Amino acid sequence: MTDVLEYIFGVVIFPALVASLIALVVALFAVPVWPFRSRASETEGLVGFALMLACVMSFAQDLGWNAILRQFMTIQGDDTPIEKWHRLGAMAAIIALGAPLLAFVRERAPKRWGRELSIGVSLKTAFLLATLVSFPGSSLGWAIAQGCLAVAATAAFSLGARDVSMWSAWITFAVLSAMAMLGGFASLAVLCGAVSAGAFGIATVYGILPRLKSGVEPLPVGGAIGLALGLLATAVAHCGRAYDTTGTPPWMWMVAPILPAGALLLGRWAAKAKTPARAKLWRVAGVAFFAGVLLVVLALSQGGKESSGGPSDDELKQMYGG
Amino acid sequence: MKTCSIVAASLLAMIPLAAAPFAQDAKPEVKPAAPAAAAAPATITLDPVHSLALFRVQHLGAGFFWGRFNELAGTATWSLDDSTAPVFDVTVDVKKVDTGSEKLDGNLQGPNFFNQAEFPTMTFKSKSAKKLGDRHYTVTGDLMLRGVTKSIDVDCTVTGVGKAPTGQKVGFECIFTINRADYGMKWGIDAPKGAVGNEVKMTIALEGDVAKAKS
Repeated sequence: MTDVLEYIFGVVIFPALVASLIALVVALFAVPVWPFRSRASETEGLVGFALMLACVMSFAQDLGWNAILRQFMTIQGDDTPIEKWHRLGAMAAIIALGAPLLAFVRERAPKRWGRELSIGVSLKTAFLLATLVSFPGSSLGWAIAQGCLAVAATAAFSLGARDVSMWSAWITFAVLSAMAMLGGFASLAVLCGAVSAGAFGIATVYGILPRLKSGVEPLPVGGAIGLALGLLATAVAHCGRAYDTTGTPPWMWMVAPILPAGALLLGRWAAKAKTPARAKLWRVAGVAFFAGVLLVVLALSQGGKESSGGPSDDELKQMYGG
Repeated sequence: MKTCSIVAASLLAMIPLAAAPFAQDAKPEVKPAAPAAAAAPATITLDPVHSLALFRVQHLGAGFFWGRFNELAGTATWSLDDSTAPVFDVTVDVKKVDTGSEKLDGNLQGPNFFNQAEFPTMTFKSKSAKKLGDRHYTVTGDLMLRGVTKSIDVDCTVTGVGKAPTGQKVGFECIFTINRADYGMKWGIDAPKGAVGNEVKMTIALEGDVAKAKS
């Protein structure tokens, strides 16, 4: 059991702690740090970086840094072939560097370009993902579907979840982790677990710190964080679908990245809430409800397969002459 | 007339004498017996119903659990008089792994183990062999698993040659051990530590049909 706990600590808890610590340090900054000019852009870029770093650290701890590096360079003495799903680690590393870069560009761009820049980058990046990140069984149809899903997931995190994006990420990646575990893909499960735990830690920091200290910049709506979460959730779902060996319906994998849109389900109650905290609670409840329904459907589909897998009573009677 | 008879009789008497040297020449020469010619290697097509591959690996440092691959195909080449070493060309379908548990089968097919989505087969091709005794060899060949090819030594025994209504059958039993980490299958060795052992023992039981000689 100690070895298992050590493993879980190394691939889930420690990366999440690092992400939460970075978010805490960023939240405590009094003034923006160069090259950022505003606290909002700094928060957007560095929190996005922190969350993706949790993913990269979990991946590297589980599989080794060579699993990422060999996709960019030849490593002497390393004859292990590149496996397609290792692109997840490479993609998380690229997004980790891209998040602060996007925040920096948005900050420096003329204000009238801000929104278009975000939308344009989202669309282009989503389709870039579809062409660069492919898994076994991918076809042109799946590549286009992945691109569209990336756009939808980014929108779900940015617009649907709005100011509860971190809580939505906590729930979404927890669901993806459970689906990966049920699908027999342990490494994907722990990777999603690290991102989920990291999102929980960051959400907790930004939930508690403003009550203890004034001047804490809130987490931004959309921007680099929404893009990072949307892209990673889409890639994880597509990967899980491609490698699933237990027959989880593909549509379940495709629904999981847009779980944050569940924040809109209870939008009426959120709009009528008396305080912003209650409004957030309704939105998170919407995401949780959406996630709960998906997990129940998944559990029922898995349970149905198990009950039909074993020998029937008639077959046993024939076998033993009963 | 009397003279002619005597001459004729003399000539007739000379015939055996004249034929004697030819008779001696016509007598077959006795040579020492030549060794029987070695049998040509026969092609043996593996019977997938009566061939299987078993593997054994330690779980959590405790017991060993066994699994099998239900589908393999290929050929072997071997002289029925054991004058040549067997040569194997075998392909195993990784997707047909069978541990008795569907869930565990799914895990083993997944990316953390065999990754059947990217590497659907495992192959072995002989390169050379060393005879250890009657019908007993160490066969050296290339094992390809998860896209990695490494040279291994296989302890191979010809278990028997039998007869079937369709012709002759030959059986082989091959045993070898590998470290799965050498083939990129590292999950469970260090992370989580000791969950699944690194050393895997494989026992391959093969039976094949000897191809009939072309008339």
